[in-house]
Parts: sequence; structure tokens; C-alpha cells
Amino acid sequence: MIKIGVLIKHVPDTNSRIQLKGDAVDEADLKYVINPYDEFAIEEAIRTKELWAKSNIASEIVGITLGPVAASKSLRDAFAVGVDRGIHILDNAKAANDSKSISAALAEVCRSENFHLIFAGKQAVDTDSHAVAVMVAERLKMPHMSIVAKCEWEGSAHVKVDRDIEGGMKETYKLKLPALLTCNKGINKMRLASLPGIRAAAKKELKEVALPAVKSGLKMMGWGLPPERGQVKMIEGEPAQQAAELVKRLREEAKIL
Amino acid sequence: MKKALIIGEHRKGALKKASLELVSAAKGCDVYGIIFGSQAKAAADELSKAGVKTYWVKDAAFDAYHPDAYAAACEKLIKDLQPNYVLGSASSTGKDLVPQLAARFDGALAADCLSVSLEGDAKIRRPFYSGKALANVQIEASETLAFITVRPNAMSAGSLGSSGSVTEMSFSFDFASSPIQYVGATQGSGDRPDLTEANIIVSGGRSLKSKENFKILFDLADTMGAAVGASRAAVDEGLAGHDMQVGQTGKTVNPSLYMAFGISGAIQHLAGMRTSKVIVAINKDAQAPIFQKADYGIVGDLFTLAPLIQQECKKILGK
Ligand SMILES: Cc1cc2nc3c(=O)[nH]c(=O)nc-3n(C[C@H](O)[C@H](O)[C@H](O)COP(=O)(O)OP(=O)(O)OC[C@H]3O[C@@H](n4cnc5c(N)ncnc54)[C@H](O)[C@@H]3O)c2cc1C
Ligand SMILES: Nc1ncnc2c1ncn2[C@@H]1O[C@H](COP(=O)(O)O)[C@@H](O)[C@H]1O
Repeated sequence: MIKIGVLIKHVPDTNSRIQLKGDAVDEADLKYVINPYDEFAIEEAIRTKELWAKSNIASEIVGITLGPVAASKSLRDAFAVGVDRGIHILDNAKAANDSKSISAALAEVCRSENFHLIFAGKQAVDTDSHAVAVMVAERLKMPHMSIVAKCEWEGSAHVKVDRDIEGGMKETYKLKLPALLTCNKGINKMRLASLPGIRAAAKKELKEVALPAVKSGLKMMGWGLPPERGQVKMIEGEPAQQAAELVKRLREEAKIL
Repeated sequence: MKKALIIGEHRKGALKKASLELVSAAKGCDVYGIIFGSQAKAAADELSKAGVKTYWVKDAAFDAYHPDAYAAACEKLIKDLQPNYVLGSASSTGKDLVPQLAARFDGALAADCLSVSLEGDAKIRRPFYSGKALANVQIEASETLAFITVRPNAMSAGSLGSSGSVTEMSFSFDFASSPIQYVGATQGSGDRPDLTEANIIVSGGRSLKSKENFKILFDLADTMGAAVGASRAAVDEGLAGHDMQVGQTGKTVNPSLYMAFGISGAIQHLAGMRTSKVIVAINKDAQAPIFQKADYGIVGDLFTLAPLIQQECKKILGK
């Protein structure tokens, strides 16, 4: 049976307000969800499994997360839409705190699973690094493609992918598997969990493993919030006056135009 | 003196401004560079003029980005030069290539940084939670080779004030046996600057109502030399292309001027544009949250205001 891995991170909801407490981010009131880009990865894994099933190619989807105890929730949510089982690399102490250490731990676990295909998100919305998945691929000596907007399968050994680049352009590549793909918005939309799916989720296998010995490359030296903007300057008057005044201010005050 | 290797990028032969921003980031180091592609002569010369000792991989086989091939060439240069830092832009290429190299050398990586100073100990500031928090990070002393990507437009373009050089680097890569084959690229949206590199962005929301109506923003953008962005609601409703989406699940932009037309200012939209230097909000609802994050605001109808603003810009820009 072909194994498909999906890297799933448990992150604060994008609606969260971030506040500091002492010299750290206050995590007490944050609500956590599956990283939005990892939803695309989950959906793409399920669609691939369904597609292969039509040609009698059987596959199994394994979700992997690294995080504190609470992170298992994202794996359970992924089970409810179709991920078959999960591995939770437990890290309550946040010992893996940068792309280097997180990718090393994820790669070690992925290696033991011997995946044919791995899906991940383009980036996690807490770190915004756009790095961990690419680093996992490199550590596994697995070819990869990032920012994937479309997959077209040729059997289960070759895939043609479109990758989003600057200027609205897309680059197309063909990959021979095994491979790792990071998903961008636009590739799909994650299905909703069905009731039977939610029931089945509770029974799926979720294995907890200890964090392998990893080393971080970065040290956090202190947090800050982005500077507040000054009071907004409202421009009043008739539309034509407003337009003229705005352009004048942009030129003379803000010195932009 | 510490050594830095910067990964330069060009578009159709013209050096990207973001590459000169890497020169700023690398100040204080002995700076080397690498740039790829048969069209990169002028770009290599410009890097050299900025003081960078530039290696130019001229072979046309490297015209298109290829993760394995680019990484192999960089790996060779890193082994030869033994730099302390490798810097790239947080572009579609840099965000792919630099982490790959970091893993290959098992080095530290600081991604998408807003400010980098490598004079003395490295001082790096990078955003977390899509810019809702910022952190100062330091590279662990045990890391002798560290990798950094810098967000385009976050730092100013720089020059080292010394003279650089251009050396043609011959490097062969076995493209035929790579598991990755480049097939081709689609055409982009012409000469308009990319959102992530644009100095001015004109952006529209759901309120534009149709794809055709977006033309008023494209017209304004043409006058201003701006790129055109959109909210997710506008993208999801098919008014604008995916590549135009600004925000949490779209692009992170950093222009001097961001003009939001009929965008409510949802937290996920702000995530993509909050670091813009000046923000202008135009919205018919005086209570719209975007006004709390804007520098200048106009309460009014975008369909009336956009053409008027374009006329005013034409007057002063002479277009
Ligand atoms: C996980 C997640 C990720 C997301 N990622 C993104 C993202 O990347 N980018 C993004 O933008 N959003 C994102 N969103 C969606 C976001 O929450 C908002 O729904 C979206 O930004 C709203 O778009 P809008 O401002 O165009 O529409 P609306 O919120 O509907 O606002 C329309 C505005 O236009 C004004 N208006 C209407 N007509 C006119 C007129 N004629 N003239 C002037 N003003 C007018 C209205 O007063 C209103 O303020 C995300 C949401 C989630 C949950
Ligand atoms: N702690 C984690 N657990 C599982 N997957 C992760 C983790 N961190 C990052 N990833 C994966 O790597 C992608 C890129 O993350 P990042 O480099 O942090 O932006 C994410 O979208 C996930 O798919």
C-alpha cells in the first residue's frame, strides 16, 4: 500500500488578536485550528487517494504534527475529513522552535514511514517561514515542489504540477515520485467533515512519539508589537475636492507621488 | 571579516531591486553573489557595480528555476567560498532555494526577515503571526553557516561602495536524470510590477462587484505605475485572479503606498498589507475597520472617487 504523508500544524486562528505577556506572546486565549494552507494539503491528499483508488491503487494517508498535547486536535479534525491515521510528535516544552529543528524532527519521523508522497502547506500562519516542508524534503533527499497550484497525475509515479510565481505566472514541472509538494491557496477547498466522518475520527489510530533530539539554530531575543499608526486623517468635501486633496497630501505630506 | 553569499535574481535580464536590498543586509561582510541564466549579464554587472563579487551561471539550461540544479550550483559555491551567511530574497525562488540549502548544510534559517544587520553579531527582526508580532532573533553561536531570506521592499537598496566583479561560473548539472523536469511557464500579467515588489498598490474588494469594474482600478494603476491587488472576497467571487489576493492566504505586500478601495479591513486582509508605509482607505462606510489602520481616509463611493483620483494623478504625473 502506498503511503501519503501530510504535514499538519496546529496554529492560532487567523482572527486571533496577538498580545504580549511579559516578554512572550500570550497564548492563553488563542483559539487553535489546522493551519489554513495545511487544509489544502489534506484535501489534495484525499483527492489523490480517491483518484488512485479508481485505478485500483490503494493508499493510506498519514497526518503528522509536531506540537504540544493540544495539537492532536488538528489531527483528529483531519481524520474527520479523511486522513487515515496520525503521528503526533509531542513537544510541550517547545524544544523544537525554529525551521531547522522542526524540520529535523518531522524528517526523522517521515523517514521511518517511508512515504511515497508528502503534502504540506506552503507556509504556517504563525511562523510564516515557508521553510519547514522544503527542509523536510531536502533532509529526506526527496525532490519537492513548493507553492503548488495544481496537480495532474500520470498514474502514481509521475505528477505534473503548476507552481505560482510572481506576476501571476505559473511554472510547470514534471516530478517523478517519491516527492513532496507544498500547497498554495487556489489548489482546492477542503471538504467539510461528514457526520460519519466525525464518528470514525474518534476511532482512528493516533500514535504519540517523543521529540527526537534536535538542535535549534535561532534564539528568540524578545518580542514586540508592530508600531501603531497615527490617527487616520479623514479627507472631507465633495468627491472632486477629496480626490484633489488626497493626491496633494500624498505628494506633499507623505512625499510619495 | 565575515563572508556573505547573496543569491541574485533578475526578470528578463533586469536585476530585481530586492537583490540590491540583500546587499544592504550583507553590509559589513565580504560579499559574493550568484546569479543564474543566459540573460543575466546586465544584472550581474549591476550587482558587481554595487560591490558584489558575482558568479554568473551563464548556461541557458539555468534560465528557468530548477530546485535541484540551482541548489547544486549554490552548494558548490558555498563549499568553495565557505561563507558565514547565505542570503536570498523571500521571493518564489528564494523561499524555495534558501530553505533547501539550509537543510542541505543543516544550518540555521531566519526566513522572511524585515531587517537584517550583519555588522558584528547578526541582528535580525522578523514577523510572526503575519506581522501581528515581531521578534528579534539571534543566530546561535554554534551555527557557523546561517541562511537568511529578506522580504522584498523591507530594506532599502544598497551598495558596498567598493568595486565588485563578474566571474562566469561554469557548472554542469545532469538535468536529464533529475526527477524534476521543467516543462514551461505561462505568461504573466505583462509589464505591471508584481504585488510583492510593487512600490504602489491599488487594491479592490468585493464591492467592485464585477471583473469589468476592476478596470477602473487598473486604469488608475496604469497612471500611477502601480500593481493591482484584491481582497479574498473579490478573488473568491471571481472578480480578480488568485495572484492578486493580498492577505493571510494571499500575498504579503510591503509597498510605499497601499490604496484600499471598498475593502472592509478584515484582520486577514490586514495581515497581508499592514507593513505598507502609507495606507489610504476609501470606503462608503465610515465605520469600516480599515479606517483604523489607515493614514488617510475618504468616506465615499469608490466608483466616483477612483476616476477622480486618476485625473488628479494625471495632472501631476503628466500622463
Ligand atoms: C483563514 C482565512 C484566511 C483569509 N485570508 C484572507 C486573505 O488572504 N485576504 C483577504 O482579503 N481576506 C482573507 N480572508 C477573508 C476576510 O476575513 C474577509 O472576509 C475579506 O477580506 C473581506 O473582503 P472585502 O473587504 O472585499 O469584503 P467585505 O468585508 O464585504 O467589505 C466590503 C467593503 O466595501 C465597502 N463598499 C461597498 N460598496 C462600496 C462602494 N461603492 N464604495 C466604497 N466602498 C464600498 C463596504 O462598506 C465594505 O466595507 C480570510 C479569512 C479566513 C477565515
Ligand atoms: N510543527 C509542525 N507540525 C507539522 N507540520 C509542520 C510544522 N511546522 C511546519 N509544518 C509544515 O510545514 C509547512 C511550512 O511551515 P513554515 O515553514 O513554518 O511556514 C506547514 O504548512 C506545514 O505543512
